[in-house]
Amino acid sequence: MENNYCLSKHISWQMIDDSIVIIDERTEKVKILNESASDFWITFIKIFNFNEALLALSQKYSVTRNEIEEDFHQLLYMLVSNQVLYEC
Amino acid sequence: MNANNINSITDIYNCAYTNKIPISVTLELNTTCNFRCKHCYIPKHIEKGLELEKIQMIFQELRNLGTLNITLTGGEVFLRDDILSIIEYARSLGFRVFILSNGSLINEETAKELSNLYISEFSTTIFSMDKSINDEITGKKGSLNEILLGLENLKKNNIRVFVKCPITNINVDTYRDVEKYAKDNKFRFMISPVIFSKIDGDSSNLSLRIDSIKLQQIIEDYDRLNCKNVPIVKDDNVPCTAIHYSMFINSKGEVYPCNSLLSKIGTIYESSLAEIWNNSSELHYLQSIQNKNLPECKKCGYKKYCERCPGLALLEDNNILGCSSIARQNAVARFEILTKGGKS
Repeated sequence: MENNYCLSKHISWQMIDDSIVIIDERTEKVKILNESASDFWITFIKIFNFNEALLALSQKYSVTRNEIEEDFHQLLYMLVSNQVLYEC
Repeated sequence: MNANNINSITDIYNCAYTNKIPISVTLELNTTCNFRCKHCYIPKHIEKGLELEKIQMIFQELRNLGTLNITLTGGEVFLRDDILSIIEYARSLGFRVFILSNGSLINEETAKELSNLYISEFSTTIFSMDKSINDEITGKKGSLNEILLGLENLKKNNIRVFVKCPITNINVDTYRDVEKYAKDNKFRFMISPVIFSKIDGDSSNLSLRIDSIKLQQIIEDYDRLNCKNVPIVKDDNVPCTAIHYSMFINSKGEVYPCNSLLSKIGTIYESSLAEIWNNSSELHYLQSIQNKNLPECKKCGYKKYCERCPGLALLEDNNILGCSSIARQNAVARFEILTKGGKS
């Protein structure tokens, strides 16, 4: 999962009270991302490339890529499997 | 409430209320309209609305303010050539988009495009399934057929439709057919017993209001349909929770707390929306009003049955802290039904 991603057309989202709220317009189901996941989202949504987002976040947190990669892989997997994002 | 507790759309509103976020903004795109509905609150159908670039700037500002829901209203919004571009831009930023339209201009192609844009809901108005009654109210011959065709196109494209039916003395005996039509098509439905004055204070349209005996039947149906104006956010201390999480921008760029509360809080040409939302003294005053500040309501025996709207109290009774006569009339009708079985 290293490629570029796009936001699915049925998704609405907004940062509310420091958390990202995601709504699937097909079902009106609501998902909330926790603080670190919200941080990932804000970075990712500007570039839609996993590697670049990881690099930006590792610099922001002053950590190595390896230290955060696992967590953000899981998050990306969750977002893709829930059809919030898709590879494009 | 904080964001960690959000599990539903209602939770989002509660979180916005707690944190003073303008989560829902209504944008009037124009006042021009192809119908001339007798009850309409808009005095003149002449404004073509803000330009696309200005609307896009408004959307960008609202994103930064935390807005999630954009409601596009008119006039008739589909008279604008750029309506799909407006919706597309709003969706590209992540907004939920709600559309208020008479539905008459929705052909198959437009419905398909709206479906591809994943709008959240399409709201429209049907007054009667009797063509002559519907056309009499809309002022346009053939309007019912046009609306129904538009809704058929929306349904085919799986778009959520919400049918509203304002009750006037012209359609009071036929609205249940509209309810049946909505039910048959799995559209959300509500009736409204309140026709309100035009926003310039002209109250000539109030002659369309129903008499007190019919009103009891309407209130009974209104409650039966479970479409009481129960606010999404409940707080027994304040007369209106919506003004803590919503704004209305009219087609001239004037900003109000909502389209029923015409107390101007700024214009987009003089201040940013953030400045208006955060610093408007008028808005802060309106948000500070609590039920304990309403002297007439405190001593009113009907308050338990009342759905007072501060905007209507101001518009029709000239006092935002005073009694709303139409709300009181409805409350009396509800009281009669619940305590005496009605028709007193």
